[in-house]
Amino acid sequence: MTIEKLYLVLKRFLASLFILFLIVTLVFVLIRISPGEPTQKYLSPKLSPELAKEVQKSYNLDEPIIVQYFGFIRNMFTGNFGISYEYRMPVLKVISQHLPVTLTLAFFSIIIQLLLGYFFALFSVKRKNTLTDKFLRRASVVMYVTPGSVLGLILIFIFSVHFDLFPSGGFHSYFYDELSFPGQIKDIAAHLILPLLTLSLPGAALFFNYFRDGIEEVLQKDFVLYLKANGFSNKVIFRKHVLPNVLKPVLSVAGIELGFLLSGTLVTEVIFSLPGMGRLMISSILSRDFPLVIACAFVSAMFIILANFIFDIIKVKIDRRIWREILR
Amino acid sequence: MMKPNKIKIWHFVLSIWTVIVIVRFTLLVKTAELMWYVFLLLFDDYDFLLSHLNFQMFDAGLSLLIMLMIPLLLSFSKIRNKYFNSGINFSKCFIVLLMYSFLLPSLITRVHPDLQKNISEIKLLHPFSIIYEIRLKSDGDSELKPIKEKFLTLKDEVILKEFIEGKIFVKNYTLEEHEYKINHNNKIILIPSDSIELIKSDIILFGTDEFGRDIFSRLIFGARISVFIGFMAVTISLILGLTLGYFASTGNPFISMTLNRLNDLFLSFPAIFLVILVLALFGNNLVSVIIVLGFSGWMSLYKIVSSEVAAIKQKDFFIASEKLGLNNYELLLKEILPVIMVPLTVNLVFQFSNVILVESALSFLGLGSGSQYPSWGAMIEKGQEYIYEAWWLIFIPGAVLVLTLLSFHNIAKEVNKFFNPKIT
Amino acid sequence: MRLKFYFPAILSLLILTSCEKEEFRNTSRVVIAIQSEPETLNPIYAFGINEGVITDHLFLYLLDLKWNATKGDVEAFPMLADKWQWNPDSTSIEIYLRKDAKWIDGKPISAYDVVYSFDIYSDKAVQSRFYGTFKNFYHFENGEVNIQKTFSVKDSFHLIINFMPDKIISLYDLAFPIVPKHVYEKIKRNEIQTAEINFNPVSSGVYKLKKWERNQYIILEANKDCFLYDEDMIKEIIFKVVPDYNSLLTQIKKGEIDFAEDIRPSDARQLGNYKNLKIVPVRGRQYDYVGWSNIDGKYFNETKKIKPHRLFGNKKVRQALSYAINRKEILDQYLLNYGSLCNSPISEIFVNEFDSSLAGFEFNPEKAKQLLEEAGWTDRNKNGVLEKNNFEFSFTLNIPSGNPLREFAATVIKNNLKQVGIETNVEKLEFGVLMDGVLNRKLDAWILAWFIPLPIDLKPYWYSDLTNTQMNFVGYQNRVADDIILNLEKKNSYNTYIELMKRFQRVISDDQPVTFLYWVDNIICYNSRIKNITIDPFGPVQRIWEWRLKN
Repeated sequence: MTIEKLYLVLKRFLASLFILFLIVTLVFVLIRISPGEPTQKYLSPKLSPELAKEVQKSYNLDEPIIVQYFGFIRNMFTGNFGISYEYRMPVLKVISQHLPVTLTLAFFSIIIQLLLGYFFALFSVKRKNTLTDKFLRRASVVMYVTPGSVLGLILIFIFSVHFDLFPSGGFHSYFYDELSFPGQIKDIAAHLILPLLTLSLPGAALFFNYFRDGIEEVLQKDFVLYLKANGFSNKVIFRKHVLPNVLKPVLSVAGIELGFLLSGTLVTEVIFSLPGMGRLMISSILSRDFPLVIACAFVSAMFIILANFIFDIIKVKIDRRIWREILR
Repeated sequence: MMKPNKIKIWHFVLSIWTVIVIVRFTLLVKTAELMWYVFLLLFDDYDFLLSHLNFQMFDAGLSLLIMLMIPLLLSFSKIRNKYFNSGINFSKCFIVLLMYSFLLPSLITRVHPDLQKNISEIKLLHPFSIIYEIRLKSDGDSELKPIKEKFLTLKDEVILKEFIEGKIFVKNYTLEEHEYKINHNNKIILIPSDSIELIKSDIILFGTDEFGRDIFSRLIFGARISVFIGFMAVTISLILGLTLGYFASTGNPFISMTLNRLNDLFLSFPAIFLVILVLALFGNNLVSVIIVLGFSGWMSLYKIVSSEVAAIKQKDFFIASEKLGLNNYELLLKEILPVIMVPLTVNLVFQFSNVILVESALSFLGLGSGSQYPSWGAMIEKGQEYIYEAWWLIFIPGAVLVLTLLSFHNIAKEVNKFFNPKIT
Repeated sequence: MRLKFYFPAILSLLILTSCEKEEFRNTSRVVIAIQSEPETLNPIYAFGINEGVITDHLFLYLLDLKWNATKGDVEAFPMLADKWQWNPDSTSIEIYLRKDAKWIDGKPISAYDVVYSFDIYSDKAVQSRFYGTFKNFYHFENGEVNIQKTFSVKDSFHLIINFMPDKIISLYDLAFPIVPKHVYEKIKRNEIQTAEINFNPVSSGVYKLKKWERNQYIILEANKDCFLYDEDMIKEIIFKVVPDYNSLLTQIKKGEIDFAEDIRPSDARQLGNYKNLKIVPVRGRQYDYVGWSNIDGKYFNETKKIKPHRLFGNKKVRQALSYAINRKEILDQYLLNYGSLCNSPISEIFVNEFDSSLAGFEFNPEKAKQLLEEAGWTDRNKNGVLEKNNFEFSFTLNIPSGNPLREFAATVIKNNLKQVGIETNVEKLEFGVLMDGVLNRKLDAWILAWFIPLPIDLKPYWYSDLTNTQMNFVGYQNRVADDIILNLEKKNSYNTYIELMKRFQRVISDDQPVTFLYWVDNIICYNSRIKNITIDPFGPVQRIWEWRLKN
């Protein structure tokens, strides 16, 4: 069985590589056929028109697209994604400067979302159909509908402007280097609390609904009644039987949510001036920085596939019967 | 047991209908008249008519038709009993109102959603403020045939216009010896009283935006576009997610493998590229928006369906029904759907709101339903710019969206109850 | 419950982080907000405005140019050049350099650096931002400056620059930051683009780079070795990247930022109420316009021949459109008078050239309707839309997405035009897509802005030859205007020059190749603890070394 599992994982790994290749190709074609040129910023009365032509030539943009594509693929297999037009350095280096923020945010945010959603759902289910329950359910909808930008503004207004507890933007302060190590941790934590809240609250509201409705539904099931009648304690029933059933759809969605978080969270990054992948990707698309666009798509696709894989593994852990279907 | 509710939903539908008929009676009659002239012109001057036919004319005719159909439909007891016979509650009433504004916006509000005049006077008015509408006398002369003349006057009265020449809107005015003193573009101008036909006051229910456009009217007309986009996109996602998820678990390893990777592909393919792709293929219009939103939302549904179905397949009741000889379609509908209903409905309802909000964000990437239609998402987006000066710009459409969502959520609950009767 | 353990833990963390706020704000430090990350600190590639501003403080110029508001022109003061002397017919300039100017690695700045700078800026392989602009120097076919003919170096601090005889030479021809020869020499020319010095420059200016945290901030600190250094100067300048406009407002109110530009008019009013903030507009450098495609773009692309546009090819139609658009209302309602009506591409900051007698097109729908009727557009079937030869007057107006002013303008214009019977469909396009459409003449009408270069340059925008003038997006064709533009390139007496300028404004205003909307102010907001700020058409952030902090 372990060999079959390993075989499946290997197969999936290869298929994922193929997907990555496909994505890179698609992005390559799309960004080229869409209107707009990287040399557009060279259009200004102060600059000479010859400059744009020269630059275009040096980017090899005057060659036919097929030649460009094969050149690009050849380079990609040697791990060379090219040099960013805008940043004038290897694209992977640019991405490595933006990745830590995104990884930190995504990792903490998904944990916060799941935990908040779970605990509030538990809290709410226990008080089923009371005022608190109803309030929480309504509030979760309001929370979910609030656009990230508005939520961010409100949080900044309350915690940054009014109470002056946290800074309103940035990843760390200017005087970061002058701080002691615990001070540095504190500095980053203070900078990340508001963005994390902005990022996590709507998702937490969504998971709250999944958990709450799921728990409620499973608790109604006959087998729970049967287990109760057999004298199992509520705790055991809940841990061993209710939770696994509830978790399955939640984990499916969580994998997707983590994927979204990893491909960059544009709105939060913009509001809190954080240097993350979302801003990098959008700005590279807007300035038509072709190598950077492709590398961004590649890296974020890689992380998304990885995130989905991780959550699939967790799902297998929970329900061993269906590993074949899930790992496939 | 719930106590039986005496007031049924169709009572509510009918009472709203009655209110509309009473308030807009003259308008309905004029619309009927207009339609008659359209019919006459069909034979008289076809080209002339053709140049006048547009979506608004069509909409007016349709509104009249719907108004006639509603009591007719309700009088069939079969339809009434099947769809409109449950007891009323807030969510259902709200959905009914939403459907009315979806179908008959031009009967509910008589202000064009893009009407703007005297921006300096009526921009950014808070809810419940009062303005005065000064109607100037006009001298009409025309050399057209009487039938066309009549048609034009009727059209003028029935169809809403985004610009009215003969009207001036002011916050206040003073009368001084046969002359009205009003504020116009921060300058005081005088209008002789004999050129004024009438002055009437108007209450602006939900305030105005930065162009002095009526928020209420924009909300009502926006319901049409937003609800339409939301429904269509969610339906596309649902169909894709459900069928693909079901196929993924039919047992053929090759299919499920391919579909899983396809899902990965869509998940990891940044949505912005999907926007570019659709823009390149279909151009910038409503259908593109729906396609983009529909195709970018099916992944989570797929994941839920495929993993749930995989689990169900191991269960005894499913194997039993399979052995009984039910076909794929019946298995999906009767055995699987009820089980995955709960996570599915949660997902669908939230996706609905997502779609409404995201629709406005698409316009940033050069794809949007355009500014010729007001949509709730666009209103919320725009309201953020004025969040410090005019809270109602974002709060009112936001509140309406929340109410819509809550109502759908509650109704989804009832649907769940229908499938899984044990939930209380 | 385990919750009982979590909550105190989180709470204590919160308290810990919030109460220990070290005081780092007391140092002499100013934070300037910039909207996007600078890409390089190499003056050769400082294409963006932000990069320009930062590199201007890292690298010294030959001359220090200042704007003189009463003359409406620039004046030169010594910087690297201690003194200079034009020859009588101003075709060559003799420059004496300062002897105490140094690069931060200790090497002196010599005449060889100056010559090398021109060499490298004009080199084809380097692709600098000034490539191809050295038309007034002796140059080769490929745009590279002819070093032998142009420069004669007398000694390390004394050189002569010769210009081509028949050109109009101005101070702007010498306005380049000087780069260090001894550093750039070591790098291959075509590899300068990706070299490490783009991020770690060997600079000469009064500030030097202290730290660059990607996409967050750049810290510059005062360079004590520079001759411009002064004890009272602000010791540290932080350029902070703040991409979100609302965060910018919050931070400037809180004092986290000291200086910000591009404030929206409605917020400028509100910020003006804060005692610690000052609002100053930079006037007259940028105007918005509605571009009407004068020629049939599709036909031109196919045949390279000129055919008037179906709708906007007629001068009367364009005039009518200008009459029908209520520019004043947009100016009053959105810009709140942070701007002024624009009637021609020459702004009032050019005191001498500006023609104040130009009347412009005041909002007048009646006149517009009359002009349209003269051009043959009438509403015969009374459906509210004008037609001519069975064609209805309807078109798509494109605007770039994410620009609230242009969205506002487009909404008002759509309504204004409806009033005279023109159907407008407003479509937002992403900027790259919009520019693609404009450059390839695919669009009928659009709203964009022109940033006015110093010195005034009309030819790229309005000269008829469309293959060479890339900025003439609308395809404006007028013989008279062409004549004036060509005459302006010759050496003229001052009076003829002014007369030509004024005549050009009258011609173009009458033709209305575009509807000139308004000059848009760049609204600056800064903390009033900063003193001695120069804000003029030259730019909002300049001469930071002159800024002082109030104690």
